[in-house]
Amino acid sequence: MTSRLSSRTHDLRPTRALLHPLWLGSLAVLVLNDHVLKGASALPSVVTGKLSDFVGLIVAPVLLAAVLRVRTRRGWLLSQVAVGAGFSAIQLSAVAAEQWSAAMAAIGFPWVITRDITDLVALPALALGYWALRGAMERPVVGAGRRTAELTAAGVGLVCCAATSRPPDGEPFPDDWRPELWTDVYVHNGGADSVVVRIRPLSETVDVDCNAVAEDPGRLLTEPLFGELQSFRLDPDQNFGLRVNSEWEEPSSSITGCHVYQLDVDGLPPAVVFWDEGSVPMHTVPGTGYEEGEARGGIELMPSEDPDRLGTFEHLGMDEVLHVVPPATAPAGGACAPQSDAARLEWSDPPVGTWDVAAVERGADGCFALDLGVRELDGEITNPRRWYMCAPLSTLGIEADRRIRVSLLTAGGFFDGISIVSEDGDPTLPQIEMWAVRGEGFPEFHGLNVAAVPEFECGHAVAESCGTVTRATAVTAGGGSFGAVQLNPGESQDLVGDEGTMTVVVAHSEERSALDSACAEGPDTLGLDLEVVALYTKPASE
Amino acid sequence: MKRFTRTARTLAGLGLLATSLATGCFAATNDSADAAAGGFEGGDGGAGVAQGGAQDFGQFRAILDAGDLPGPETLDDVGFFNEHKIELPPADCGEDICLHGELGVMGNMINGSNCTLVMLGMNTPINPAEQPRLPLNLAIAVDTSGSMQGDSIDYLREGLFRMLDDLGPDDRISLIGFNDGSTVLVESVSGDDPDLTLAIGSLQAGGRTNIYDGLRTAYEVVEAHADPELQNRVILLSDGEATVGIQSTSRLVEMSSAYNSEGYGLSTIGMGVDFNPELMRDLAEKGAGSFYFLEDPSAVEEVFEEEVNTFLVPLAKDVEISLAVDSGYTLRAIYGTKQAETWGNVGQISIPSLQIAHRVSVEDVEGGRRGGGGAMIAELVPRDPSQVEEEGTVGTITMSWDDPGTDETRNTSVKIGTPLQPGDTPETGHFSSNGVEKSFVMLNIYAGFEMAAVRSSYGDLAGARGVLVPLAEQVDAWLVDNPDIDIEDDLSYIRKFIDNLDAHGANFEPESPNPPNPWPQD
Repeated sequence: MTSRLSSRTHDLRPTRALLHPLWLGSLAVLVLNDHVLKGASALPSVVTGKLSDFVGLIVAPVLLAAVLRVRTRRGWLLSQVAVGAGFSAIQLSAVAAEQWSAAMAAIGFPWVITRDITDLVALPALALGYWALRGAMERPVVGAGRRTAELTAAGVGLVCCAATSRPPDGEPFPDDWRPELWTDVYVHNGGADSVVVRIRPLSETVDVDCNAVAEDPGRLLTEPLFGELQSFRLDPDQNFGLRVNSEWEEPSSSITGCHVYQLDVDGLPPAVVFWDEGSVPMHTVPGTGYEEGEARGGIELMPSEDPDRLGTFEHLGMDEVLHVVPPATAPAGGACAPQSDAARLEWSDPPVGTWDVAAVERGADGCFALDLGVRELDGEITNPRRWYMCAPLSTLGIEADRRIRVSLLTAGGFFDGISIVSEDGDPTLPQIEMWAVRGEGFPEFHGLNVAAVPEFECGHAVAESCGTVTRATAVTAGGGSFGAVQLNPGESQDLVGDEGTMTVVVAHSEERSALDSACAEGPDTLGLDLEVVALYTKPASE
Repeated sequence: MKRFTRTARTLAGLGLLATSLATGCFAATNDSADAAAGGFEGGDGGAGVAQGGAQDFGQFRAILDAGDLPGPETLDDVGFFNEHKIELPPADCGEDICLHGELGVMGNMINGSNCTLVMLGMNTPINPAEQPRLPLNLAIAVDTSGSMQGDSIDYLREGLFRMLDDLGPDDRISLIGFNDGSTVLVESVSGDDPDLTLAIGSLQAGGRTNIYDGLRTAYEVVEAHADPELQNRVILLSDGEATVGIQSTSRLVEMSSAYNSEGYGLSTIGMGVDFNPELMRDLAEKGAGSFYFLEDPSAVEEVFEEEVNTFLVPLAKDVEISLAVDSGYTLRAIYGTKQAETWGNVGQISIPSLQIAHRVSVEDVEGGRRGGGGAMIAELVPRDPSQVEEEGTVGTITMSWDDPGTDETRNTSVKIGTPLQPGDTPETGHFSSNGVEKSFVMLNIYAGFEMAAVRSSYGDLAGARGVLVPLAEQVDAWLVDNPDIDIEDDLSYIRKFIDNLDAHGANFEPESPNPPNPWPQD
């Protein structure tokens, strides 16, 4: 048994599969498709493109295995894996596509590759080839005539795989011929001269609430939110896909529901291109000229002939995807303005544990410096450390010589915070408990609840530094015996309950619809950005 | 003249006006020889007067010198202008500060329409070397984090030792070192106390950077020894971003501002190329102080010996400058200051403190270009001449300030005259002094640097190069007729920027996507 298996595994001859009907048929389809059908426009390019992928993935692994003189099933499998990996890399990475193209050009067969992730649908063809052709490779060696036929098939296959296509009808392509695009939104140079088109996607660290910013993308999606630029020269009449094209790799993004690009074209005003996911279907667009029939997702660039005037954009089709950036206007003011970060809750590395308080000093900026340590029996403070706690309170309720416990408050990214609780065990002193919480909400604290509701009449505003899109909120705090009050950011309210007093201050509260987490302060997620500090004081026992 | 005309036209074509400065004033003709004959040539303009905030664009220069591409955050108009000495009429107004409003009128090269500039300049007859200063209550917060090891800590020690030479027994000095936390190394000792020398010599680098703790401790020490008879100030020296403790930039600025409003000023000095220039600049601007960058040993000497001497000598406090423009013009914008606001035809500039800029002439660059004093530039748009209120007048500048020695409020005012009607554009232009034209070129270069830095920051290297190449050509052409040390040095940095862009791949034209090729895609 062992010797049979060993014999079979060493008997593989990939060249024997070169005369298998499946391989020969695939090669015939590849040649016919690349050299006749693609140029004849008899079938949509999406069909001819995918057809080449399917049959190519049957043809190529056999050739690779034959060239490498593979002799084992493992080698055959690895040939399949290598072809699959290379094919996937080309579709997924512009760099890989470029390197492959360069490598083929170096051996005299330049390829222009249109990356299309949907081409990966052809990968199962590898499995078909693996199972269907393995048997042929294991057949015994036959005569010299077959050997000659195998070599001929290998030669034809290699040439056909390297030189994938020829010009249609055998005629050279005209100088301005461009391959068709498979894209959704694209730009078309409607001017008489070449223009440089600069395109910037959103930064990888930016998240956007598509529904919110759809209200006015040109005004709300501002320069700080956009990432690395790529520039291209677009010749007259040429089309170019914004999101799907052969030139660039769309950055990974957490944004779902829409696509956003900043467009900067010589002689035209800056613009933002924004469209909802799926609103413009993927479709075939000619490399040059206008679409036949109803156009979809086209933006025509119309540079001005007058050097002192800016050109214009025209929509091709009914898709309103382009939003010219309006002239700078005065930022929103008053209660609707984005809030400053200067009043946010902040603390230095929390000294979690129980500490004796040596001193508390409120600085000119309202931040408390707590000198903490461990009081020894002789009254000396050892292990001293200074801890800063910035919260918009006039007092922490903690004085020197008291003992406190400092703890962290967390809830799985929903909020984080700090808790300070008096721990003297002395009923003649008021009991103090302070929570400083920042995040998307505030947990119930001695019956106190906090709710923040967007101020809908405010609309969305843009914070200048990081481009954060915000909307003001109204905050309500209370519950149980405390009653309920409304607070604005920076406001403090004392609520008297049955057993103690609760001082509530809203340090920061707004709703965010676009955010660069690498730049903006506060939570890294869209939605509520709430920072509240609550100080509960239970009076000393009589 | 023609060369400069071409310069302006090209700059306009580049979109500098529309995208960066929104002004049409980038064209000039050159009759500076006539203007010089009018009495300003070679005159002893006295020392310039500098606002607080950035005093140089040293970090920007250092990054270019290192072969890299500076980001826009490393460039600041106030700092850039402060490395330019603008010649002004003599400081013979009889006050400690002389205010000048100089007019420049030239053709707008976009559409040939008129462009009118008013340069607001100040100088002083006071020689800083002879000016007594109030004794100091000074706390120096020194970054001793691990990143300071090597040159930075050496520069720092050298700078502080140089500074000791200018301190006296009446000065009260505290030294605070900060890394993971802060330590008061010496507290309120006299300027000639050997303990201070020993403390400086013992500075060692290690740990992280707790700027909040170091700066707040310095303020608390100054506050504890505050004396109205002394200058109560803090100097912060750091080479990095905050990496421990409270690190929020807005919180740091808020804390510092709160102490500033209690009367404690702040100046900042940055070292290396990794510090946060916006934080250091913001802190200094709010603190009525200056921000310097130490790029090399020569800068240590320049900053600590020449500049520190002058920035510790406030010339004026609570300065209010008001520019009222005649109704024959519209005030469009004011450049060269962070403190300007405009309402209609009135511009208001509020400057917490003015210091003496140490350079007394354009050629005075032995220790470097810092201390030029710069200038502020207002751009006006001419309106219908029939709306002119006062013939022969463009507007009036008034200035009030508090004398730091006596707290007495002083006032001065100058009228900006013109022989022209609004909209008149003489073929050769009109300049009331040489400085207006230089300030125009300076503004162009700043705009070019800023635009190139912004473009390169998001990967548009070719676009950045496209701004700088024609700028270099035309600044070079301007210098043929107008030799100037500051502008020549600017030009060398424009060329370095271009070289660095080329080294990073900017000299490749953008390619056409989907190029025509006889080999269709799969």
